Amino acid sequence: MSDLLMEEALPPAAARGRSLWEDAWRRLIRNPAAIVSLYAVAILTLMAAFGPMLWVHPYDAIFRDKVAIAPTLQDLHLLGTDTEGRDLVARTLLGLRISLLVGIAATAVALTIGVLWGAVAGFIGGWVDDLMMRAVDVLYSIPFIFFVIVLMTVVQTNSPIANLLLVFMAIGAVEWLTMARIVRGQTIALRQKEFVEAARAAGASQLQIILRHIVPNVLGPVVVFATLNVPVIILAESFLSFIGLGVQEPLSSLGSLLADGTEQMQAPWMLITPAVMMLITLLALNFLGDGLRDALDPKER
Amino acid sequence: MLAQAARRFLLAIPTLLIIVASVFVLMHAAPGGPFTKERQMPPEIERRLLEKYHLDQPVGQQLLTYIGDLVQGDLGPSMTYKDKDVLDIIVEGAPTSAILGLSAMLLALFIGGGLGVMAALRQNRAQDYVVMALAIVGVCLPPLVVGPLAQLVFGVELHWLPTGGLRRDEFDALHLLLPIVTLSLPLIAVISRLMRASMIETLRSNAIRTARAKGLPEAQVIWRHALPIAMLPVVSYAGPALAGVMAGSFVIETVFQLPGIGKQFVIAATQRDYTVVMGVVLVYSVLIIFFNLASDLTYRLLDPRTRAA
Repeated sequence: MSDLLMEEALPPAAARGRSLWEDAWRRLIRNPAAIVSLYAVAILTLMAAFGPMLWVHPYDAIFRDKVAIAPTLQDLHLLGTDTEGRDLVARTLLGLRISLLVGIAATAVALTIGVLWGAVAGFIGGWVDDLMMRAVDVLYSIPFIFFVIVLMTVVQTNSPIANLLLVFMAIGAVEWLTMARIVRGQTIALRQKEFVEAARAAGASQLQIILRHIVPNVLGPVVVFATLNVPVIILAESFLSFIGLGVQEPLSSLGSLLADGTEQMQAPWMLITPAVMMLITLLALNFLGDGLRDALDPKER
Repeated sequence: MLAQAARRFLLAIPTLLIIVASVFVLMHAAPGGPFTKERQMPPEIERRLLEKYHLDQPVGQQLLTYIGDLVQGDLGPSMTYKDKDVLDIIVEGAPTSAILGLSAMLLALFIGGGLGVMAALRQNRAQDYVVMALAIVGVCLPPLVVGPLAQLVFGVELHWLPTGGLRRDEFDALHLLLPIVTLSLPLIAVISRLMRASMIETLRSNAIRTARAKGLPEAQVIWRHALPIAMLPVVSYAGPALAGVMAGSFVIETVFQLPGIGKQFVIAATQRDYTVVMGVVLVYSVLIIFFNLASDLTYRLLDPRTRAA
C-alpha cells in the first residue's frame, strides 16, 4: 500500500525510474580520472588478495647468501632483497595487503560508530543530540595520533596478529568523529521529509526508522567519506609502523617497509618500491573518492 | 564577540580535564612502567623510585595529585631524564617544532594562495588546469612518503642538502629546507584549491561588480576588494590546519630526526615516561583549542556580515 502512495506522490519526471545510484554510476563512468583510479584500486586489491599466495617466494623466506641485493632477474628477486635477505616483491605484496586491510577494517569500525552515533543524535534531537555532539566536539580537540600512540605503547602483545587487530581497532575508534557530524547533518535534513513521517504514521519504531529509512538515505556521503578515509588510515598505520609501533616482524605493511627503506638509504630500492606503491594507492583512492563525490553530489562541482 | 570567546574559553577547561584524565588513566592502566627494565633493580631502590614519583599510590589519587600540580603550573619531573623537568624538555623542543610548523604554513599560504588566485583569474585556461592538476596530486603527497624520498634524492644521491639531524638551537636553513617544503606540499595543494574556488565565487559577487562599475583599476579590484572576502574559507581552514601541521611536523621530526617536541613524545611514549607524554599531549591540545578559537575570531573580524553582530 505504501508503494502505491509513493508512486502517486512522485512527480512525472521522476517516474522514469532511474535510481540515485544509477545516475551516479553514469556520471562516474564519464569521469576518466575516476575510471582509471577504479581500475587501479581493483588491480591493487587483486594484488593484495592473491599476490602473496601466487608469488614464488614466501614473505618470510630468508636467503642468507643474498642480503640486500639490488633488483635482479636471478632467482626472480625482481625488486631485490632486504637486509635480512627476504624477497622484496613478496614483502611489498604482503605490505600492500596489510595496509589495505587495516585501511578497510578501520574504516568499517569508524563507519559503524560514526553512522550510528550521528543518526541517533540527529534523529532524536534535543538534549540527547546536544550531549552527543558536545562529546564529539570535546573528542575533536584531542590530538588523536597521540592517543593511538599511547594506546599502542601500553597495550603490548607478543602476537603479530593481535597487534594488527589492535592497530585498526585503535585507529578506527578515533576516526569516526567526522562521520558522525556528516551523518547528523544529513539526518536532521531527512527527519523532516514526508517518507519519514509516513513511516512513523505506519507505526514504525524509532530504531526501525533510523535503520531502515535514515541510514540508507545517508549512504551517499558515507560512501564518499569512507573512500577518502581509507588513505588517511593507511597513512596513520604507516606512521605507527614507521616509529615501530605498528605491525611486527615478520609481517610487513607499506609503512614498515618505508621505515626499513629509510634506514637503508645505500640500498635505495628498499625505499623506492614501498614509496611508489604507497603513492599509487593514495592517488588512486583519493581520485576515486573525488570522482564518487562528483558523481553522487553534482552540486558540489 | 567577547562573550563568544569567553564561552569557548570556558568550554576548553573541561575539555582539557577530560584529555588529561583519559590519557593519564590509559597510560597507567597497563602493566609495566618507566622503571620496568630488562635489568632487575634491587627491590628497595625500586620501591623508593616508585614512592618518589607517587607511582605506588592508586591511579585516581595520582591523577588528583597531577591535576593539583598542573593547576599550579607544575608539569612534574621527567621519569627517564633524571635531572630534567617536563617543562625543560618542552622548552628545548618547542622552537624547532614551532619554526617547522609556522614556516610550512606561511609558505603554503603564500604559494597556495598565489596559485589559487592565479588559477581563478585564468579560469578554464591552461594555467588553471595545470595548477588544479598539481593540487590534486599534491594532496596525496604525505610527508611520510615524500620525506624519505626527498632525503634519498637530494641528500644521498645528489648531495645537495643534508638528510636531516639538527643541533639544538642552531637553526640552519639548509637543514630545515627539506622538512619545511615536505611539510607544506599537501597544505599548498589544499589552500590553492580553496582559494581558487572562493576567488571565482567572489569575483561574480555584486560587491565586485560594483567595484568594477566604479571604474577601479583591475589590480585594485582584485587585491583590495576581492581578496579579503575570498580569503575567508582559507582562514577558517588555516586555523585547525595549523594545529594539524603541528601533528604533521611530528611525522617530519621523526623522519628527518629533528629535536622537536614531536620526536620527544615518540621517545617518551616508548619509554613510558608518563609525565613527558602528558606534558606534550597537553601542549598540543592547548594549541589545537587556541588555533581553532583564533581562526573563528579572525573569521568574524574579516567577514562584515558577522562583524556587526
